[in-house]
Amino acid sequence: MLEDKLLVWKFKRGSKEALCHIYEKYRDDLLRIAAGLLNETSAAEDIVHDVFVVFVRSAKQFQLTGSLRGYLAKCVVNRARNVNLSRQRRKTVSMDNAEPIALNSERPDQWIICSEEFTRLSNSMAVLPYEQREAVILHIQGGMKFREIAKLQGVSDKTAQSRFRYGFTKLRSILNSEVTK
Amino acid sequence: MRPADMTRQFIKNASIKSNPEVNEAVLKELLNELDQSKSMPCAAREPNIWRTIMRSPITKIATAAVILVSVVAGIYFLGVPTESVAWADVVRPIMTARTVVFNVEGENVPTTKVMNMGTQRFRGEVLSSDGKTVQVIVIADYDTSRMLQLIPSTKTAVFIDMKDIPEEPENVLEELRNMVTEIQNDPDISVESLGEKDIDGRMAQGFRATGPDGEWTIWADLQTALPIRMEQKWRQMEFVCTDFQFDIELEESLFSMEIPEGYSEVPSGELPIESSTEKDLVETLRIWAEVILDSVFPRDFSGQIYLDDCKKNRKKFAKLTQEQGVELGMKMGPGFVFVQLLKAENDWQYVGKNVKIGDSESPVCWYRPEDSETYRVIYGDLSVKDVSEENLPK
Repeated sequence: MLEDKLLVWKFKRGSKEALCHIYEKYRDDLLRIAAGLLNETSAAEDIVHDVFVVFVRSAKQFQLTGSLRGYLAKCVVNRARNVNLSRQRRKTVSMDNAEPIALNSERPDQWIICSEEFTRLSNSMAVLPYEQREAVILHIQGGMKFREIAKLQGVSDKTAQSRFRYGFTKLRSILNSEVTK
Repeated sequence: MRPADMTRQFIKNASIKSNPEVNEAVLKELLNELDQSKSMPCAAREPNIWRTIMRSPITKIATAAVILVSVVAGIYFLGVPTESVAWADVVRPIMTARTVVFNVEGENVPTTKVMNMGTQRFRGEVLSSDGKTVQVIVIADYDTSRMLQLIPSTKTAVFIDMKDIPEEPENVLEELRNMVTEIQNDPDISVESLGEKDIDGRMAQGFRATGPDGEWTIWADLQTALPIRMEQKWRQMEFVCTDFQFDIELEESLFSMEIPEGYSEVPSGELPIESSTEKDLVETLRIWAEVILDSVFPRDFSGQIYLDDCKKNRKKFAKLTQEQGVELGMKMGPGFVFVQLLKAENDWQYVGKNVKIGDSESPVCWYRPEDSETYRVIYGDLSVKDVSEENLPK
């Protein structure tokens, strides 16, 4: 935590080393969260790219009041939610019905390279309601507490826990059925 | 069924890799951005929107509210609440076209219900962390620059003369609507749009603007164009304003500068708002570490943590008289104000967590005074030294 505070402090004063350190430290975690939430690598890449760009542009105003990891993760979550809402409005591919092919498609400039396990997990996650998927990913992969997730989702702690529990149980069931097939 | 811990492990282990070439390309772009941002003054990037926002009375109201709350945070020290007072049912609205009510909360700001009648009358109710009880009430009269602070638990009242309150706001509702309309319609305003979002059941349009002293995110109701949520990072403060109500009825008595029946007045002095100094900050740190905590500096420098620390250690103050409490509280406030009024370029940094008082080697905090090339570093023994940038603690 203190290391992050100093990193941010140096970054705000224009330190390239600090920016490199922050980028290396959190890049893959953020990509994983974004890819898990959106089940589509290109959109996830765009989001993480944008989060870092905005972070750099707002360097002078940025004030770290919590954890840097939590802050960046929240930025990713908010943008992923906007992408989700935008897709729903356009009535194209709903996030809750997203096709798994997006994760498997390969582009020459592809940033995210998914492991077989991640692809399988994401495809299973794709059937969960978005709020449940968000709770599961943020709690297990993002290491967030339910209180933080509740605040992020604008719901009570209990609701956040319920969303996690329902999502996790469903996910277990899906993964289990895959094993027994 | 697959055991829960195995599923958890599976989720944790499901990994991705990132393409090294793309990693490098993105990093290069970010470093370029950093170079550009160094040469670009913050205010120049969004001149129109920033001017618009800073012109807004609601900005000034929120600013004044935060400053007043910080003053209250200092004075709260004298509270020593032994019992809670429930959220009083004092609000009996009367019709007026000049009222704005909203809630302020944040990591550096105790949760506070803010009420404004016209542009000259302010009432803030600092709530407990569960939001159920009012810990401190502050009523300000901008006409006379006087502030009345009430502590329900001890039935004490303190009058404070305010100096240099930020410019007084006018026509809140009208200006606020103008601001949002301008943001939405002016093609010359290059503000970042955050899209639409459901906020408490209302569809809202979000905008984010940045300025020299911070970043503002505003969510406005799509139908009425009225703000319903503002997220603000202003100087050292980060807070959120929610539950806006405009033109609602508020009782005149809520803004009364008379001491309520049953309350007793305790003496006070002037509490300078704009003239707080580094010396005040040192004194605030000393009292916090020596008197409130056990010879250790707080985990962070914020109003909310201060209130929490006071609450946890209330037994330590049991022997203080009310007058002694007031005196200590009045010494605490200016230090908070000093930090809150630092600008981004002052480069404030607090690193005092776990530092013990008397430790001359460990820094507690630092900042760079305006037009200074060196930093002022306050150490654990409360000494203050001028330190060049390259010699700052790593």
